[in-house]
Parts: sequence; C-alpha cells; structure tokens
Amino acid sequence: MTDYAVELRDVSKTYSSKRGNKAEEVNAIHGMDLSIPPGKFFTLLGPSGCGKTTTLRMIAGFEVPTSGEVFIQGKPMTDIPPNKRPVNTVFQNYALFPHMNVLRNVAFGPTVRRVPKEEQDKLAREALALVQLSEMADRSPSQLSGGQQQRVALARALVNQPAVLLLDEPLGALDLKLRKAMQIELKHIQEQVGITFVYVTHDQEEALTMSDEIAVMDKGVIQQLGDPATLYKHPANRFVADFIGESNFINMTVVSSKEDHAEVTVAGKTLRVLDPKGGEAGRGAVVTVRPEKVKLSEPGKAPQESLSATVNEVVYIGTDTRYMLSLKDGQPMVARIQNGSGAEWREYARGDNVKVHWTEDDARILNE
Amino acid sequence: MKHRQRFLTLIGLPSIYLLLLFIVPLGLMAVFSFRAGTTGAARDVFTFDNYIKFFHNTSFQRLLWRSAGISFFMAIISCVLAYPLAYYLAFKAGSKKTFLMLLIIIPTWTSYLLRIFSWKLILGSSGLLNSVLQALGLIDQPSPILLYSRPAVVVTLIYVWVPFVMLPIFASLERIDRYLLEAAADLGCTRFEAFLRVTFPLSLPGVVAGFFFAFIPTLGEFVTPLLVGGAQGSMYGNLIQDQFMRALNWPMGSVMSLAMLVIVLLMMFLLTRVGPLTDLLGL
Amino acid sequence: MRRLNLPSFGAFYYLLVCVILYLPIALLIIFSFNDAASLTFPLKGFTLRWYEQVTQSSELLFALRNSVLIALGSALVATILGGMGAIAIVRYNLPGRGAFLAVSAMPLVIPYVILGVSLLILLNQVGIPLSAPAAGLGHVIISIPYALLIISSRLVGFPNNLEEAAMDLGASYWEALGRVTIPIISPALLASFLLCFTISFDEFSIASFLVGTDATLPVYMYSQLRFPTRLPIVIALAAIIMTVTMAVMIFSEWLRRSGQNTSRK
Repeated sequence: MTDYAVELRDVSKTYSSKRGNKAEEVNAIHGMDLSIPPGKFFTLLGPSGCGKTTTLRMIAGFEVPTSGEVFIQGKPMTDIPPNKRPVNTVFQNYALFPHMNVLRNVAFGPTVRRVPKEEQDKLAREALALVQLSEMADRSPSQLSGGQQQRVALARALVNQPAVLLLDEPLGALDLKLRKAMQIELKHIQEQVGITFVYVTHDQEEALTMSDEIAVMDKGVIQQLGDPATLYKHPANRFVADFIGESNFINMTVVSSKEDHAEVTVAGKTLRVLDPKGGEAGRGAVVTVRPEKVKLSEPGKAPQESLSATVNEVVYIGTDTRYMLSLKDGQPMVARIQNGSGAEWREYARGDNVKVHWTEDDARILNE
Repeated sequence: MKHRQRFLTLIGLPSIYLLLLFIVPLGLMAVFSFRAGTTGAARDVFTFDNYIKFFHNTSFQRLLWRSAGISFFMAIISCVLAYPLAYYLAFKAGSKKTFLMLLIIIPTWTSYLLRIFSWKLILGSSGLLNSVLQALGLIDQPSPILLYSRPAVVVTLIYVWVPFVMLPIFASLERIDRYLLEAAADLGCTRFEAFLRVTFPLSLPGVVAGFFFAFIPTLGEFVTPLLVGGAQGSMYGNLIQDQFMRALNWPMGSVMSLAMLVIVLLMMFLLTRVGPLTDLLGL
Repeated sequence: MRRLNLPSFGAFYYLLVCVILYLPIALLIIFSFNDAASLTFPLKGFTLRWYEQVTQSSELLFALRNSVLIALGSALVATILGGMGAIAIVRYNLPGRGAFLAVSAMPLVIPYVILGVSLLILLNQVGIPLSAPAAGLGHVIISIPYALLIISSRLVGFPNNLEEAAMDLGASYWEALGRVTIPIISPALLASFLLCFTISFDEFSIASFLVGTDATLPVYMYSQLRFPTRLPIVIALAAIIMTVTMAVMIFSEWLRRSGQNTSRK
C-alpha cells in the first residue's frame, strides 16, 4: 500500500448542475481505482471533459470526492485541505502572483512556512537554478515570456519538495517549438529531482513523449493504463486506438479463432489477424491497423493476403503521403506511405486500383 | 462545503450591515405606517387611519404625480442632452476620450449642495442670467420667475444629472462593435442611416439604464426644491421631510414614504428588465 | 450633398456642456474673492477676508471636524464591507450572490429621503441618539455600492485562481487573502476609500435627518444660507472644499486607472 505515491480507491465525483429548472446530477468520475508508483512521470490523457483535470484536483484537494478515498504516500487525504497536503500544482495559467517578483513568487511556499529569510532565498534560488532562470530573480512576472513564466511556476511548485507534483496542461499556451523543447526539459527535470509527476494533457503526442506511464481516460473512466509503447501497439479498445495515434477500423467477420490468431473475411477475402482475446466463430469484429503499417501495391504485384481498394484522395504531407481508400465493400481506409525513391516505391493517383496489405501481426481484433 | 463557508463568511458582514441598517429600517417604516401619534411614540396601536387620510387627500397624490412628472421630464431631457455628449466621447474623441470624460465627471465630485446653491447665483434676481439679459437689453427688469419656480427645479436637476446619465450611455456606445458600422456602410447605409439602424438601437439599453438611474432617486428629491423651488417648485420629498421634521407626524410620513417606495420598487423591477445587473454595473 | 460636419458639432456641444457644468463652480470661486457682503452682481473688488474669516469661525471648524471624522469612519467601514463583498461576488457563484448584489446595489437608486427617514425611525426605536456619527451609519449604506464596484472591477482583471495557487503552496484561505488578494486590490481599496470619503463628506440629504443638534459641514452650510451676511464665508469655505475634493478625486482616479494598466489576465 505505502509503495504508491498516489492512490485513488473507488473514487467517484458527481456534480449537480442546473439545467433550466431541473438540477441534474453529472457523473464526472465513476468509481475510479488508480495507483501511481513513486518517482515516475505519470500522465492522465484524454479529451476535454473526460475527468482528467477533476482527478488531478481531487489529488490536490481542490475537489472533494463524492465517494471513495484519495491516498498520498499511503495516508488518507479525506479531511486534509490542499494547503496541508504534500502536493504542489503547476497551473495551466501559471497563476504567478503579479505583485511579487520572481524570487518572492518562488519563495512563497517557504515564506508561508515561516522559514528564516536567508533559507527562503537559498531554496528559491536553487529552484530557479533548476529551471535555468537564475538571472530573472528580480524581474516581475509580467516582464517574462510565456515559457519563462511557466518555468517560474514550476520552480515555485518544486521548491517545497512535494511528494507529488501535479501539472495541469502547463504547456498549452506555448507555441509548438517551445512546447516541444519544454516537454524534453520537463522530463529531464523529473528525472533529476526524482519526484512523482502527475501530468494532465489532451495531447497524445505530448503524453507519449514524456510519460513513463499513461492512463487514458474517457467520460470519467480509465480506458487503459500502460506505458506508451503498449498503448500504441496494443490499444485495449476502440477509444484508445482512435485517441492515440491514428487507426483504421475495419468491420470483418470471424471464421475461426485459434490461440491468439483468427481467420477473418472482409470484402470477399480471407486474412489472418491477431486475436488477443479469442472467441467464437461467426461473430463480427472490428479489426484495427495503423495507417503507417498499411502497404500499397499495384494489382498483380501484391502478396496473396491483400485487399482490393480504390484511391479516393491523395494528400502530400512532405514526409508522407496519405491515401484515403475505399475497400471493395465500401469501407474507408487510410494508408500513410513514407515518401521515398527507389525501384519499389511508387506514387498512386486518384481513381487508381491498388492492393492493400500489411504484416499479419500489425492488424488485431479490438476488444470492446 | 468549504467554498460555501468562505462565501458566506465574506458576504456575512456586509449582509448583516445592510440588513440591520437598510432593510430593517424599511420594515420599521412599514410598521410605523400603521401607528398613530407623533414621532416614535404611540406604540401598540394598529390603525389604517393614516392610509385612509393619505388616499383621501388628493393634494398629496397630486403632488406625488407632479413630482413624478418633474422627475420623468427631467430624466428624459437629461438623456437627450447627454446622448450627443456620450456619442462624441465614444466615437469622435479618440485618444483624449478618458481625459475629456473625466473633465465632465469632475464637477460631480464637488459638493452637490453648493452647486445647487450656486444656481441661485445664476438664476436669482440679481444673478448672472438676469444681469446678462438686462445688459443685452432683452428684458427691462430682473425676472423673478427664473428662480423659486418649478422650471428652476427642473433646470437645476438636469444640470446635476446630465453627467451621471452620460456614463451608462457612453458605456453602451463604447461596447458597440465598430465592425457592425462598417458592415452597415458596406451594405449601403449612409452615416445617418447607420446611426439610426445600428448605433442607436444598440445604445438603447444604456439610455434606458441612464433614464432610470436619474428618474428613480429623483422621485424623492427635496434638497433642490428647498433651495431653488420656492412654493411652486415643492416636490413630494419635501412633503415627507416636512412630516418627519416639522409636523412630527411620523406615521403619516411613513405612509407617504411607502407610497413612493412602491413606485420606486416598481421602477427598479423595470430597470432589471433592461439587462442583468452585472452588465449594467459593468461587472 | 453637404455632409453634416459632425466632428465640430460634437466638439462644440461638448465645450458648451463643459462651460455650463463649470460655470457654477467658477462663480462660487469668483464670489469667494468678491469684496461685498452679498452675492449679487456686479462684482465689487478683490479680497481675501472671507478666507480669513473661515479660519476664525469655530462653529464652522467644528462642523468641518465632524464631517472629516465621520467621512473617515464611513469610508473605512464601506471599503472594508465592500471589499469583502467584492471578493465574494467575483470569486464565487453560489446561491445568494444575486440577492446580495441586488440588495447592495439598491441604495444607488433609492431616494435618499427614504433612507434618511427610515434610519431616523430605527435610531429612535432602538434608542440611539441623533448625532453626526449616526449620519455616518447612513453614509456607509450609500457608499457600499461604489466600493463594491471599484474593488470588484479591479479583482476581475486578475486570474481567478491566485488564491488557489497560494493555498496549494501551503497558505490557509485567509492567509491567501492576506498575502495575495489584498495586496493586489490595494489601489482599488484606496480609490474606494477616497470616493466613499467624498460621498460622505458632501452628503446633505441623509445627514439632515440624522445629525440632531450636531452639524456636518453640508448641514452647517445649509443653516447659514438663510443669513446673507454669513454667505461669503460659506462660499469661501465651499471654494476650498471644492478644490480639495477635486484634487483628491483626481488622485483617486489616477490610482484606479494606473492599477488597471498593470493587471494582466
């Protein structure tokens, strides 16, 4: 039990919202169980409204669970207000205090704890050095750029050496290049200080870049928990497959299933795909395959297990070309082919008939 | 929950103050309206006497209507006079807008009593206006009607209220998206038509708000009539003041006040129909 | 077709209004230097004797003292109450907010005669004697809406989770208010104090009902209006007060506006 940095046990959060004259009960979180191991970079990933920020705020103490309990380092947090929890937050809008300079902002935690003045300054300067902003100590927050403000917010949260650091989409307001640089930097800082980071974002690429472990959420429920590679390669359900990266979803019919493979038919052809769960024959199944795993060939030059398709749209994106295709039974597919040169590679045009195929294990049946 | 506790603690103190010194007194006034006797004496008497007297006394009601008429007329004229001012500041003044607006507002920060009093200097028999008119040869003798009359009260009130009325009108004009006017021009409107069809309708909430902000408090106005109204320009507020300070008939005065309060509350209700309170107050 | 030259019409109208607005003030100041015992045209000569006599009138100075004291008191109370109310209104959207806002805004439009008269009844029934401080009680009521407005306007310009951030870092709620919120709104607190001071200092209607035998400055001035010989002194005092009030309010506005520029969302 005490091994986990943060634990949520059967936590639910219900809001009553007023719609016109009726008071409605909205379930933000349903009976969530979550265990976050210490020292890791853990991410809550999901679309707007999925409950990730609510979960974060319940760990911080700004929201109180309607039922269930939150534990931090094994201790229950039920009656403990935010200012007494060993948790600090980096807010999306940074929330820097405008009437204090950077140093006093960062030193706020120690100030409140009535640490002696020299000690306050020392701790604050150390934190600023960690985020490489030492020379900005005397500036006021309004004089800093967005990226610099974000780092001050980080330093301010780290200076108290909390057990857990919570980050609520802190990079949202930054432009792309800066955001990517900060993602790497945040990861390094986390590794350096060794504190558990709980990070909230809706950007799946960001999550994949930074996280040791990701909880994908939708509608208040954790859809899948795992490390980036697992989530990407073996999505547990349609939501995860669609949210992380891009996926094709093709309806097929199962002919037979043996061990972890199945024979399926689609558009008149029979293929073998991964079938992790196994199951009866005759059922319909959704098979998912990533667009970048889809290969195209000219008719006649394709392997046995391939499907016929027509090219509907061709979109050139520099490094790749996206082909929007239709199978013979009308189902849409997307193929993402890396642009290259050489004997084997060729371009296709709208209206072309092509053969679609992939490595057998790159396609799997989705469990719903 | 914590939020609720903190919220209630914060509004607790101001709410208690408002309750004890604003709401409760109004309630006491209502209680008093059913009493008889002078000042605060005569407890435990419950009677409709004063109400009956009030409703039978047509001169009271006539005064109430006359006062309402004065306030109404004054508020309308103030809005009309303030509108070009607000328009000029919102559309034509450019970068000097803030400074120019301040210039108009500054006089309102000086003593109300004194500015009204100083109108005596202007309207009085040996005052400025008479001197000027005589010097210009327009009249032979000082005209006494300029002061101590109903028009004097109206003019003085207008003088006081125009700057206040200008503020909400200005605010609503400021809020108008300039692109709307460009669109109107693009679709064929002349400048005047654009004003009539776009600017003016959109500024109406501010005008109506300004009207009510001037109209409602003036219903009970008594200082201006005291100073420049004379016998003719007496208003309903003077009647109430008289009941409380000279006639010492507090119950009757309470009935009179309640009668006005009913109209005031009705007007306030109409004001809330104009728009949410937070918009009007700029919150 | 001739275009109506609106810019110059608007400017001309503005100028006219300004002249009319400042005319009475100018007249008062002119007459304060007029070497004559009565306020009639034509003007007689320049003198400073009225200003001298202002300092010699003990009644007047006493009324002035009363006004200053109750203005200080009522401004303080109104600013504190308005500040608390402003924080509640801006930071929370809970049941009761609307009602509180409505009730605290009502004094903006309620005729002062009703406020004065109802307070008179209250004080009489409760047994509190009529005095200058009693007038101060009423002044708080009419000042609260302005305090609310000024302070909440400033508060709205800042991110709404600053208190939360302070609590996250270890401060209790009230500590967060003290270390973060109040410093941030301090220019507005001062501006509100100055405005509420002016409101109370100049207020006549409510005071006339509640001062009893005491006098505030406006009440004193009104009582002198009946005596033509006393008028020039009153005018001189008025001129002083007007000038001081204008200066104070200009300073307060400057405070309020310079505050808006440094706040960021």
